[in-house]
Amino acid sequence: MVEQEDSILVRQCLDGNRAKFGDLVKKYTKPIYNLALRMVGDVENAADITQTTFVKAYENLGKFDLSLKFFSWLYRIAINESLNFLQRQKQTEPLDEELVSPDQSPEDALHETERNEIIQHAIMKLTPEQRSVIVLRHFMDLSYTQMGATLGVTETKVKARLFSARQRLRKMLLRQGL
Amino acid sequence: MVRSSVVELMHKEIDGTATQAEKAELRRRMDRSKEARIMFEELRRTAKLLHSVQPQNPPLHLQEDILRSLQLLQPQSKTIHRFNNQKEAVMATLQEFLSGRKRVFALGGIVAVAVAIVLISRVYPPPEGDSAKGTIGGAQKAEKYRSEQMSEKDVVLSSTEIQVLLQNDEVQKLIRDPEFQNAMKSDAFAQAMKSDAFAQVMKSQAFLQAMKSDAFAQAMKSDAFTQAMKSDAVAQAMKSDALAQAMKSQALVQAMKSDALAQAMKSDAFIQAMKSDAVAQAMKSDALTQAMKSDAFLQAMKSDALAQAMKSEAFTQALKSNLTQALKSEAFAQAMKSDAAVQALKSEAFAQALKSEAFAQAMKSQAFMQALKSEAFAQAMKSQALVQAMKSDAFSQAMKSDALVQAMKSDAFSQAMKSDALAQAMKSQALVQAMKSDAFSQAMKSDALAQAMKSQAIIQAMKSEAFAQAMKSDAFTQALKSEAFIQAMKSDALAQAMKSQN
Repeated sequence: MVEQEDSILVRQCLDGNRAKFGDLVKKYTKPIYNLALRMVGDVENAADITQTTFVKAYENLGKFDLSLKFFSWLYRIAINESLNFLQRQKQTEPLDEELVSPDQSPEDALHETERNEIIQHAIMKLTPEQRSVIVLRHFMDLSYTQMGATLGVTETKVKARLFSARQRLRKMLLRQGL
Repeated sequence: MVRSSVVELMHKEIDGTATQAEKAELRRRMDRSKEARIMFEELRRTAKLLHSVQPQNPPLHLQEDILRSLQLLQPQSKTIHRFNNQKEAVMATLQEFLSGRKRVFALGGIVAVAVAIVLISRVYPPPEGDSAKGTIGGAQKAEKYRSEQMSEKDVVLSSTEIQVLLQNDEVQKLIRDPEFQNAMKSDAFAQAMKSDAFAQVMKSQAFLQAMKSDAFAQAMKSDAFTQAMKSDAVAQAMKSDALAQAMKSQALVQAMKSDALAQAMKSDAFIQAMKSDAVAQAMKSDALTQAMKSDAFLQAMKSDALAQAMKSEAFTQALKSNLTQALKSEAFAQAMKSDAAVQALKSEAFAQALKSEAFAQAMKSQAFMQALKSEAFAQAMKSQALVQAMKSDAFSQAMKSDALVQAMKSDAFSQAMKSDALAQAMKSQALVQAMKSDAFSQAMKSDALAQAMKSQAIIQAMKSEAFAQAMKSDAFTQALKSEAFIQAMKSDALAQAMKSQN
């Protein structure tokens, strides 16, 4: 139903009613912003990436394959923009091993905001490829198939990346008492 | 070492893609390997943690910026240009007012302008076409507004929705009310108004709906509201994203419309509570935001019992204490989502308990806070049995006793509340019946029990399955109700004995 609505809006845009793209912007601003936020880890750059994503999607809408799902295409642009940003910023090197001070008790770390920070920090320690699958699976709720379509890789590869990423996260979060 | 094929099954199970055969295979593997069981639990917890991270709201103007960059907003339109000029003019005026440089014009006008500004700048998109004029006193340039006085009659807004809102009798009454004007003049409010979070609040349909209600208007006119708006704590709270999110929920709107909340907001106790840093901190937490969005919260806020409780000095004291830590916990948010918690919060027993010094003291304790955060407590709060028990006079009486307060402050109580066994026991009809009896109430008040509760032996006992089962039995209920039990619980000998078992 959602996908059908998207494809109707895309068709209307392609038929000349470009204002309909505004509806897609309204619908996907929050998901794209959150995807970018989890990928790059800061609010300002996430907003920039969100804006660039929509501008690129708008400019390239004519190249969009209508047989595909619009959100997969949009997420792919957002992921690529995030990866490009990370490469430009050279932020792909592993962060410090210690995410929080070692004397912090697990109970202190359980405070929600701090906990979210620890989780985001751990996500940032993953490789960009691993981070992409974690974000798409756990923050965008995509299936293996949808993740494959978004990333342009096979389902087998998606699973391999996701499983190893989750294993790494498990170890990192355990070390932080989560 | 767990085999990679088993690890893969774990991931599939976590992602919900495992077939029945794969599920069965995983169960078999885990039955045989403790290492596999531990790994599965850790992976499941990792997935749960990731899912627990809530989506963030994008910056306020991001969507507008995107649409503008795509030229889907047509900013070159004459009408829009004029509208923006007027918006800037009004903003400049308000900034002067807020900075204290301009206080000479009619207060009603100031308030109307303040409301209009927020609505124009944050709530409504620029008007489309010439039918929406968006004029304010026919002025075009910001400079004019910096040099002239403004009165209420100058505010002529063209947006139909703004006009409807400003023409609403209650809003008109509200903006003319001296108390409301006082509140609007406060520095705290001025600071709050400058924040994006407050803009989010004002932007929400929920707030607009709430503003139209009689109850909210009444509440806003109260001394309590004025005082609260002047406090730094409220200003801080109003700046928080969490509150902004909460204000968008229908549950909170409905709650804000309720007479019960209006009544509560008028009380001195509520004012005092709102002024405390602890409340401000609590209102900023995501967990409380989630709780505030729940139907349980709505129902609770509408209840007379809670309104009465919120007026009590004891509740104020409790709010200023460690209770705010508990309010921030996920367990509280979860508990608030349950029907049982609604019922409990609405009950006279809970309201009475909240008013008691003993309960207020208990809520300040680290132990109670820990207990409140525990899954077991949340589960227990959901049970009809506990609700029934909390409504009983016996429970109310027991909660007021110093002995129980002492017991609740103990680590033993905290540990016990976390145990599944006790949660199960608290759900049992037998315990409910027992808690309703005077005998139980008397026993709970005894120093001996308080002392016993502090011992490691009783922690272990309360955590045991045997205890849970025992608590569920009729025989145990009858025993708890007996005079003999009361006397026994009051005796030092038993207390010593309970401490010594290990």
